[in-house]
Amino acid sequence: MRRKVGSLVPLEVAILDALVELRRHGTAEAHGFLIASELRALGDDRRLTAYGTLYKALDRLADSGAVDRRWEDPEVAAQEGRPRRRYHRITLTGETARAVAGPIGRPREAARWGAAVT
Amino acid sequence: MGSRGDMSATRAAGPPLEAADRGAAAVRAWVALYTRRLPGELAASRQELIEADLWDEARAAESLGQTAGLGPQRWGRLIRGMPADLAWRLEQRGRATGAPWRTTMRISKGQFVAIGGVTILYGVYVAGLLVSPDFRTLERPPGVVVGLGLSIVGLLWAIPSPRAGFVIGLVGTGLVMAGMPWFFLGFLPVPIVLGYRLARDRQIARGTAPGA
Repeated sequence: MRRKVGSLVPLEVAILDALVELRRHGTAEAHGFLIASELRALGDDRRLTAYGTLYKALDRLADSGAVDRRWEDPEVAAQEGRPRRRYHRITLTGETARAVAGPIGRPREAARWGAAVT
Repeated sequence: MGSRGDMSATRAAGPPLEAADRGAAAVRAWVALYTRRLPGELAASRQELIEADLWDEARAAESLGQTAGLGPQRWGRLIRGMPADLAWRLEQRGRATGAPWRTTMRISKGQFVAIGGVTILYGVYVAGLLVSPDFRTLERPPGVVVGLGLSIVGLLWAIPSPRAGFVIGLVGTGLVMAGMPWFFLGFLPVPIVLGYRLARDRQIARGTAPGA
């Protein structure tokens, strides 16, 4: 089934919710695993979102302008002895889109938010 | 219950937990496979993204004392995300080659039915081998099982790469035909569908496909 341009699927709405919630608790930017953990904390599913599903949704959110993302400074990662992370932050467009989308949980229904991004 | 805050960043970097973890190795192998032949920077970026996730996942499991469940968790995340990974690859390949990605990822109903049919046949065959002593006594060269597997791999592989899929599928079908001619009937969709797919792909590449 083709996706309508400018629509959010429930996972994308949930990701935006997670980013808002993390920011409310002092984390303005979040890396992928942190978002997956937050999604699990906020939702009913006890499983973590799959790698492919999560990053494809984040790509789409970034492409539509709902999320800003940046790669971490490699030196910071090197100092901590770990791979470099990519951080995500919800944008004003994303917040508007989230507000327009309304409550999630409507099965198979993508909330329209084309007006918010054009 | 939540994991708010960057708990993984607050923890000192420990020794790599997952060096020998088969789940992590499977994830890395899969990422290497589906990023193959993508532009180098894009592939490296994806691999780095997943590597960071694996690292953070391991540190979180360590800090929560849940390392025992890490392997199954990774396998689950890997398998559930495979369709999205393949869709992502097709989209990126389309962007890289300038071809409309929806054209390259189009899967006909015939392909879908063939993949499903062959998978079911293969499942029945393997289940029969496992549970039925009579079935086990059937005369079958070992190449048949390999051929069945290759047929499925070929069908799936034809979605991102029609030519390779066609070759793999033909080899698989040939092995089945050589070993069990009566079983070949069930595999006729394989060369038909793959051949169609290959021809269609060439037509699209030449710009002569109807409706392309």
